Amino acid sequence: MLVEMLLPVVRLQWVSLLTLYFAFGGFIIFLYGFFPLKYHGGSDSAWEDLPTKIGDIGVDAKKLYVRNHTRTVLMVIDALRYDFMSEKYMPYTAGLIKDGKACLYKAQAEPPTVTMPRIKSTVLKQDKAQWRRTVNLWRDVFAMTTGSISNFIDVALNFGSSAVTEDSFINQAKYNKRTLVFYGDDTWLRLFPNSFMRSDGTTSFYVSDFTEVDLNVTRHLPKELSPAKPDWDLMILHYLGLDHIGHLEGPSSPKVFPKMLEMDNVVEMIMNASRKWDEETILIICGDHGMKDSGSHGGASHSEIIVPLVLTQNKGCSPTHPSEVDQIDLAPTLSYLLSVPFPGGSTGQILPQILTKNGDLLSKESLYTLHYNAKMNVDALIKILGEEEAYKKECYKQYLSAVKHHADWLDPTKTGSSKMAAGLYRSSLNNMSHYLTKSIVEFDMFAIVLGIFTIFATFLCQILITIVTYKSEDDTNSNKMYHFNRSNLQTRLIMMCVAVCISCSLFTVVCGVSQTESSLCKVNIVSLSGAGMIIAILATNFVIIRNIRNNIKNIGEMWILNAIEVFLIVGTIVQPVTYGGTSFIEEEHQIWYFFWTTVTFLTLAYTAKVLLDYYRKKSENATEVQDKESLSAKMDKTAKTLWPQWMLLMMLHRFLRTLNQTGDKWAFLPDAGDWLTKDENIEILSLFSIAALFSTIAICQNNLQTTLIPYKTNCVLIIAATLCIFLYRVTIQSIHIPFYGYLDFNENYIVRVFWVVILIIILIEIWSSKQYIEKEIKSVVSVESRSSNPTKVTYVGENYAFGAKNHQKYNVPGQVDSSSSFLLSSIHTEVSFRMKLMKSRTNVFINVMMLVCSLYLRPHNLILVPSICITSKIVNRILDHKFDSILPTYKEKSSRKNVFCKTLFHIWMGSLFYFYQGNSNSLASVDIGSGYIGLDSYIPPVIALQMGIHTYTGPILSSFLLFGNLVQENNQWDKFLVRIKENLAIVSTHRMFVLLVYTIVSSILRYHLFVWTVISPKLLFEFTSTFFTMATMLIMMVFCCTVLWQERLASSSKTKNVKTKSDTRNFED
Amino acid sequence: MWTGNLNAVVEQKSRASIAFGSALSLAVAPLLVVLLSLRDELQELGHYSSAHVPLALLLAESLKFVFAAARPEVPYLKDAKLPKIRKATKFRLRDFFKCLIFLPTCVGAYFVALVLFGAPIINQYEETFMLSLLLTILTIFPSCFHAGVDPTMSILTGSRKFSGDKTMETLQQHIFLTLFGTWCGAIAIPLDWDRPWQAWPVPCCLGALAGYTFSHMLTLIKLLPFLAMRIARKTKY
Repeated sequence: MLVEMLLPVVRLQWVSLLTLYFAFGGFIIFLYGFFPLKYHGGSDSAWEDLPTKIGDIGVDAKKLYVRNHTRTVLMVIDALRYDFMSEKYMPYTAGLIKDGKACLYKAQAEPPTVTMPRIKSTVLKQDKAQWRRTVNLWRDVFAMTTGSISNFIDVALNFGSSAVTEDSFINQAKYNKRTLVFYGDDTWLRLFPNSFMRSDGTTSFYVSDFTEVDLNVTRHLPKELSPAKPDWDLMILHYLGLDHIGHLEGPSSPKVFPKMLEMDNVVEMIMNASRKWDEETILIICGDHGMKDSGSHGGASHSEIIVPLVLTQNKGCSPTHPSEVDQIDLAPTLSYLLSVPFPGGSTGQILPQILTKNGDLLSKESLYTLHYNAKMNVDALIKILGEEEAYKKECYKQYLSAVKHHADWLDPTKTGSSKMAAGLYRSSLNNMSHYLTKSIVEFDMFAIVLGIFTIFATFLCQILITIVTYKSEDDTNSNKMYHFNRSNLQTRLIMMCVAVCISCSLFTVVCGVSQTESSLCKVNIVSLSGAGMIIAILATNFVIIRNIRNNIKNIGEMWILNAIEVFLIVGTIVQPVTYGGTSFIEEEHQIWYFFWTTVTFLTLAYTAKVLLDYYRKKSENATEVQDKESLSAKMDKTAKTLWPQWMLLMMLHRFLRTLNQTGDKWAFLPDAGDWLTKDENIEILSLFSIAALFSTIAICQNNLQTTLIPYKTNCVLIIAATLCIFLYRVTIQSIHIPFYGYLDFNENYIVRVFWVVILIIILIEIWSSKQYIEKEIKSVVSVESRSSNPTKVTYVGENYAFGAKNHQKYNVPGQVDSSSSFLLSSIHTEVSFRMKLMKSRTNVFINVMMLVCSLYLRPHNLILVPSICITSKIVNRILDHKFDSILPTYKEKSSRKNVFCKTLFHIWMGSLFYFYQGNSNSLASVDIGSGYIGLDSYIPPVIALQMGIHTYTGPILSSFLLFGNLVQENNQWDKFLVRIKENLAIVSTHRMFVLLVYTIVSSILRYHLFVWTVISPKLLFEFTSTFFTMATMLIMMVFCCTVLWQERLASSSKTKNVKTKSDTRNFED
Repeated sequence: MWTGNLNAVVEQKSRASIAFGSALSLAVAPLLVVLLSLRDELQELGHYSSAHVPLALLLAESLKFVFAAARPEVPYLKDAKLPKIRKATKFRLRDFFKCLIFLPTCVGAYFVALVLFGAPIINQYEETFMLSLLLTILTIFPSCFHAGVDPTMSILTGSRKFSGDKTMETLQQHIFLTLFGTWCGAIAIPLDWDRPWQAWPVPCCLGALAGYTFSHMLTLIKLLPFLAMRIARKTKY
């Protein structure tokens, strides 16, 4: 049964969906290569993880890995450039360095993942900027505390919950009951909740505030520093003032100098206080990132990622020349100072000067710590490279010989050099860090190429499918390409390919997710599954090409195009190609807006031209326009209503553009949305959203006219649902009831009521369609049973299988009574029985989708839902013209070409509304809040789904609107399926083309400066948008299937009851 | 036979004026751009301060018209049979007033179109106005003066084919290539190079001028055989 129900899926009607799945598989392989799932150590480390043996000699870890109780101060100065650490800016600190009391390192911060916006108006785009800032800081703090670099995926996966879940020295300190104190940027408090004994967070966003942010930190110092024996082990201070000055005035601002002096004074204060304490105190000063000469940061340039790191100790610091370290080295260093195990994912190395004890690097304890450090990194290396690879590396050999020297030295019977051991550990660590950091930025070229190849192969295949779909002479001939629908062998072959592909991709995903250490999974499965996939795809291609080979002739016929069509095709091809410039990824909406306006102008001009032509010919009494009533009516209607409507539509779109400024370069500009959401304009916003909701209701009701559901009931339900949306917005106080004010409800209840209403709508639809089917079948059966004189009548039954138009001949005994037998009459004249069901169902579904989208959209964006419906309607109407009929090049091909144009138009519209809504290709523009609507608890899949629906409102609605239009236009099931097939072929081809172009572009630009800030987010957006395209296509398919299933169920039960000739009414195939 | 010969003569005359016009435009438009960029005023293209650019172009176009109108007429063209042909080239007073109304309307129409394409509505109307002025001068103005208002409308809507009429074909080509150049120029605006000349509407103005120049160059190249023939004939005498 299940197989039977799934069979329509693999039928070629939906082959475009299938190929899109293949391409998606290829894209996943590509992503796997582009974002290698990183080794994160995974677990939190514990004392048991410390090595207990060096070579063969057992040691007591707890005795050796200790540090005399040390008090540590970590002072992070935001945006501290390397050249600020000079005598001019920080005389006291520079003096310490000069005197050998402190040592200065050149630390390398990690290039950020998210760029800072070009903020000019700080008030308007606060939220977005705050988010980007948080991500940058998140990354810096992540590196400093966990000792491992976060890659893009870490940031993306941490989206929403900002707390660091990986092991960090703060986590270790908390676990081992060290006391921590924190003052400064409150991001730390969000990243490490409940980790600090005392803390005071400062909001980081008031950029114009240069002094308060820092005074707010410094004011706690006297209290913390004055006791003779402070109760904390580690104090973290994070100063923001310098960063703020940098953003607003640049590094050469006169305000920098006093600010640095202020910082210097803080250093002096801490140093002076620490002298009074009996315990050793270590002060570490560092910047989290640098600053460009223009004052901003967010790139990967030298002045932005090289920051100073100063280490002061009471006992002094021997080498004063600056040596280079990494930001991630802080994590093991601080762990060591706190005497807690290194964080599990740490790949940094402990700062050398910390380990010296009275100038002696070679104590047992120091050497043991070095060994611990080296061992952890070696383990990480083995996990990353695999055992065999790792053993070949020089650093591993160095490590082995270091261990040998170490063991020999510990063994009283042997003579080993501790100096040699220490040196070897160091150089091994240095060499390893190269591999450990490299593995994170390294791309898996094999997977990338494989992914691109897969997409390419499926794309080629899809192109052929599309050509055949559009080329086939007319609908009756089209089933030629579906030979293998009937041919079992080939169907099986395809099924096999599908199975192979699915299993291969599953394997890859499982291997990747489980992060097994087996080298089999690391290398072989990937390559095996890749090979399997290629074979499967090639086999599929072979089958498809074999089947359509015969059908490719006279391609040129279809392609007599007018200006609109040419531009649609050219634009669709050019648009993905513009991704080659990163600005066009950031400003993708500009391309869409531009192309859209152009195509609307072209349509306007073209329609005007056709109308002028027509009226000129009419006035000249040309024969081709004479006596054509329908043509004349059509032309009059177009001239009087459609053309002006089109102009109004263009204006509407110009307005929608101003609703949300998006992108990067001009995102700061004020827009209508900003103006509407101002507190003083809430009255206008409320009226605006009410108007939008009313127009949504109007459109919904308009849709209802072709449904089977009782009209009034449905109206009431729709109004109820809309009311719920309105009340929800009122209770969360984003709008209010005009001239009344807010309401006080639990907003989650309202949302629940909304869902109940939606559910009722769906149930009523199912129920009434069931009724309808039963009624129809009864009438048919009664006609049959009534028949007294069985004259054999042959009629062409509807096509009961998806795809194949096998005109099955049913020999039905009965009268040819077209008025009473619905099935008979409907075949060529009226709306067919199935299409009636489809029409009702699709309209109800579109209504539901519109309401659901309205629930998620922000009040000022509610207007988008009716706008997209209106746009779709007018576009469909203006493309439906048979204008070409008065042109000399006209041939009977218009319906197919209409589908082609409409599909491209709707794809464009989807993207257009996606950007109207304020989305962009930056993760910062995703509205996280929409994910939590109506939820009491944190349920990630639901949140992701809601966020997805909200973000892709435009594409989802536009594709369903087109689907609905195709359903409305076609009154016969076969024709409808052909139209849908044509539609899906284009959608699928377009998506694959975008994927193909973008994967190629991003693999070429993989070393581009903006790879993490611009290119990678776009990859994620492509992923989700492909996912949603597939989901919508799947839903369309399910729709068609449900009608069939329902019919089949009803008929089978009916035929059992009424003992009639059930064999003649064979609904199965 | 007679009309064919006559057509050839008219054709020749119009070809000569077309060649002259193209050469003039080919000289003026790039010269203006070069001058502006030398004086570092390229980014000023959208302001009233650079009004001399459209003015110069206006002048050049008028000069072309004067040249075309002042050509000595071939004597036997004065035959009464030919009012239809002459209408296309002859300038009339009624047409002049029509133009006076039509041209400002075109500026307005361009303005609206530019706003629909995304030009700022409230802030930068000066820039948008300058671009629409420039576009009118480059596209509508020449065809209005050479052919009159009604043929211009036909060109714009593309509702009539002008096969055979060299002047009209050339005008049509100028209009479409200039508009296409403007369209292409807009591509440079979103790029993140942060150059002063990326400001609205400079890339579009430059695109329009480039399209205009290119179109005239194309015309001149097309006319090369004719010119060569003419020169050869002149040297013969």
